[in-house]
Amino acid sequence: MTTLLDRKTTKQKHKTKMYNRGAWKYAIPAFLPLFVLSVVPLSQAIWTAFTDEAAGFNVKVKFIGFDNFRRLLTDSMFWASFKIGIIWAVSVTLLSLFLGFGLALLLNQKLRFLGLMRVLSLVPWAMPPVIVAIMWNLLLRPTSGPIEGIFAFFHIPGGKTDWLGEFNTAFPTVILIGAWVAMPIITVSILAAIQGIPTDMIEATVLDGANAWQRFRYITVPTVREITAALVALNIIWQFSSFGLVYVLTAGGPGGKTFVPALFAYNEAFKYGHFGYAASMGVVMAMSIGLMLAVYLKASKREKAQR
Amino acid sequence: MTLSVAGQSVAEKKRRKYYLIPTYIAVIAYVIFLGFPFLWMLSTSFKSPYELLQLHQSFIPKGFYWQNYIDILRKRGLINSAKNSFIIASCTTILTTILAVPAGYAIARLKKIFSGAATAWILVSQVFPVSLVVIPLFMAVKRVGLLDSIWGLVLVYLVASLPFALWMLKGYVAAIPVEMEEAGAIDGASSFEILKNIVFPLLLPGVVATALFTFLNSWNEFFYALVLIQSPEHETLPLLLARFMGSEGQVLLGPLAAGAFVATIPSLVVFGFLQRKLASGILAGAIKG
Amino acid sequence: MKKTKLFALIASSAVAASLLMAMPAHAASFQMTYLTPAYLPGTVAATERIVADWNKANPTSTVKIVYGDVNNMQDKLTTAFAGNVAPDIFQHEAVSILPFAKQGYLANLSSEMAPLRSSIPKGLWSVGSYAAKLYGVPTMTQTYTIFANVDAFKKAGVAVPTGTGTFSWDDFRTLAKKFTANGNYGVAWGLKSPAAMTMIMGMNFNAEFFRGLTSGSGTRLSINAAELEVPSRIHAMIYDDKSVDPASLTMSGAGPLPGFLAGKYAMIFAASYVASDLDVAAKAAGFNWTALPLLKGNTTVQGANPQTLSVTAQSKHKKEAAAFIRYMMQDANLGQLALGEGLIPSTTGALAAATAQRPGSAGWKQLFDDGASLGLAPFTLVPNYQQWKDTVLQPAMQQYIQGKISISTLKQRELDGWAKIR
Repeated sequence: MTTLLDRKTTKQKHKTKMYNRGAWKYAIPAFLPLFVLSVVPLSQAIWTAFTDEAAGFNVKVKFIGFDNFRRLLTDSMFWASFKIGIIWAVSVTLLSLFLGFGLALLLNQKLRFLGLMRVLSLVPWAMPPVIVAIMWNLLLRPTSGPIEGIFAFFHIPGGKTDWLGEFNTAFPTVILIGAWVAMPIITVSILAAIQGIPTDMIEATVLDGANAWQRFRYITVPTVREITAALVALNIIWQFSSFGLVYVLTAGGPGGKTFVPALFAYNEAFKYGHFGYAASMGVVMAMSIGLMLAVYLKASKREKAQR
Repeated sequence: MTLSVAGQSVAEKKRRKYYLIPTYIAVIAYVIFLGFPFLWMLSTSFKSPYELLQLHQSFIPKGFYWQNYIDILRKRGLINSAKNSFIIASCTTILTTILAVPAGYAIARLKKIFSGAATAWILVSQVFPVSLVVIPLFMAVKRVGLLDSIWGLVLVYLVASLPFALWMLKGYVAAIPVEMEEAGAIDGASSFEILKNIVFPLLLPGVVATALFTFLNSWNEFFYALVLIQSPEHETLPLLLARFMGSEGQVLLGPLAAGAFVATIPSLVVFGFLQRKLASGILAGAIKG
Repeated sequence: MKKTKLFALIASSAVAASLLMAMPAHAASFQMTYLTPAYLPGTVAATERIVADWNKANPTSTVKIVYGDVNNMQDKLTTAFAGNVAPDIFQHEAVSILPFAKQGYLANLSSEMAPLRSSIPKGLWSVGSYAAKLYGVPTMTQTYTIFANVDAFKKAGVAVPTGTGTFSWDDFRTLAKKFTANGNYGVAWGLKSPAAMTMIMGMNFNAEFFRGLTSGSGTRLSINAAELEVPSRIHAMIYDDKSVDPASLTMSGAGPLPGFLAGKYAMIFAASYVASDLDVAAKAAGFNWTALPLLKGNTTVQGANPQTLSVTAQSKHKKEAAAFIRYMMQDANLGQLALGEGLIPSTTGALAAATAQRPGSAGWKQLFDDGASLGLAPFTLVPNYQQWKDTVLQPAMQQYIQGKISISTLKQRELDGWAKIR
């Protein structure tokens, strides 16, 4: 069995051989709109970080170099929130990856009601975001919510906890709900990757006498590796730069425990009108996450190469 | 080959039986975790304002209060905004797929430097918080003359979903063994024919997943729509639903749940059809054919 | 490729069509837009009725309603102002329009609204003003009130306090203790976001917080006994008397309502708008509620943050927009709008009109009478107050309420935080 797999991977290493040189043309139509509506506005936003731009009618904007960044360095509240953001992004991503991967493997089995299960796996994604937070708030209502009822029914202690309101439980609860929302995209993407494994490859390993674990380790994992790396990277980015869910669930409370940096930057721009300063937060967030992901993607490439 | 697989299945069956109990326990746990908030929303949509004020909420509503549905359908323009959302989400999905499949293929199969630069840009464009790009973006859309238009939103959503679509498709392409394409090239197929006849069928589950992603994100997107749409006629579903919320956590819960339920159904139906495409049977057929 | 072309064609024709529609049909007649966060059925109905009446009477200067949502008015307005596509008229809240006024986005309405001046309390008028110019016409407002379960009071043989200025914080504390027995708590208090409430109620004890308001950047924060009075009284009720349900501390303002309706508590402390929900319960199940007189410390004054109507500086029809605001402010119109929200209308005439709509309700009568105690909260005029409230006061107060920090730490946090904000 190993000989077969080895053959496959060594072949894949030689793929840099360019037999399809015309492929670059296919990228142009996609990059045109990206340039107009992504590169241009984004460059403007980055430029804003070096100015003192603030909300106002006919206000002159001045270039101030790195002043915003210097101030940001000593802004302890921002860095506290930055730390929360990193924990939030990484935990939600890992938790949803774990849960989503598990579900994808289940959905790949021959089970009853498979179609229904697959549709159900999409529910957190299909429900409008505005109501997701409201429903979870209702479900977790202390003293009278349905989840408290379930705790009481099974005589599990801790049912009276206000999961979203208390200092120790608020952040973990928000992370769990974040993972609930993030799960479907991981489930569906990984399921698609597993389904992309050519059937004859599986049949061949079955013939070679591979057991389920070996099949998972030597076929499933390598196949989904690239997709998983992309999913992890994108999820960390999205979670780090979003705040909608957290905002409706806890509004950053209690005691600033869930005050994610995207909410911080949003308040700075829209509530207090400090566009320049807010943009510098965006630049710092983008740079640090970019750096983190570059290291991560490098590492995952190296791992792949070593294999 | 079929014979040997059938022979395998005796041992397989034994093992399957062994696996089945924990598997179904896991399935049930997932079903509850995923489905409970949805079912609770459905139940909420049938409760009267007074019932919703009560301390202990039962899963089965005390009476079916259809007024919530009548309210959202008649008074709040649900049908019009659902129509807008559907046009926007479908157009965005079609455009994204048309643009992203060839581009994703190109990025995956091209030299490392090019693909690295593209990946880096995709990353940067996604990290910058939306709320900080929204004003320059607003100005850009205004310059193009597509402010307060559903086509402006289609354009913005296209740009918002392309990075994800590209990156995911790149990943799916990378999982396709190159020798399949090489075989095609040796047979004398053109580069486009390789893409169309060899890569695309293998890519189909990935395309479906990506299309689904694009559809759902455009269907549920809120912030860009809030900023770019001014007239009630062009309002999308998430904008409409947000108007059932007041300040300080006040909510018109009944109508909101009813509206949200109606808004969830199309996505689930679309996926109900598409999920068959995620199944390996079709794929196997496509490879052989 | 074919599909993209088709799409481009559709898109461009859609643009052309919308441009055509945007052209005025008649040079002399025009349409103004009115952005409103109205969402409760009563207010939506009232708004639509008022606008329809206006349009019938003013066919050359009609108004089109644009619904916004309360939680995103700020984003919507900020981008609309930046992109020069602001509505002509909009409804928002006084504290939030202040930055827009300073930034020059709002029209000065002082002379246009002069006829209304005598019928609006001075305090409210000044909340909508900045540098002696009126930018937001105050329409309706909330108070923080204690609601009582009348049947529970009857059963315990306790008289329901009535009147104005007759109900002190000490009386409240005694009452709460009286109803705390047999595992029941006397009062439920949704304190999830306590910052704004403690600032506003602080005025009962002449809490000032900020000094040197006129000198812009020189504003100082000072915290003494008066400023700490309200938080420490709440703390004492929670931890010394144990008369506040601890479960309610992490609830939002209206969160304890279901427990109140179920008879778990005799009183709740909440914003006055929950009265509309109480009415629903009264109608459906005969729930017998009333509002107690406003709490009195040294005074009964509470800081007001009224809903306001503004005209934007970018509007091309400021005169007509102001006329529309005056129309909305007519007694019957404003009264109907305020009732829909469960808020207290700002003009004396509308107050009378609204009171007439709720005959025989002691609770509503009390709420409407309380309107006179609303005043200008000086801190709302402080630059960076919002930022300090969100990032410093809110988290610190949450920690204090949940018993994590002492009152001296609370004070220190507030002062340190202010020093950090430029």
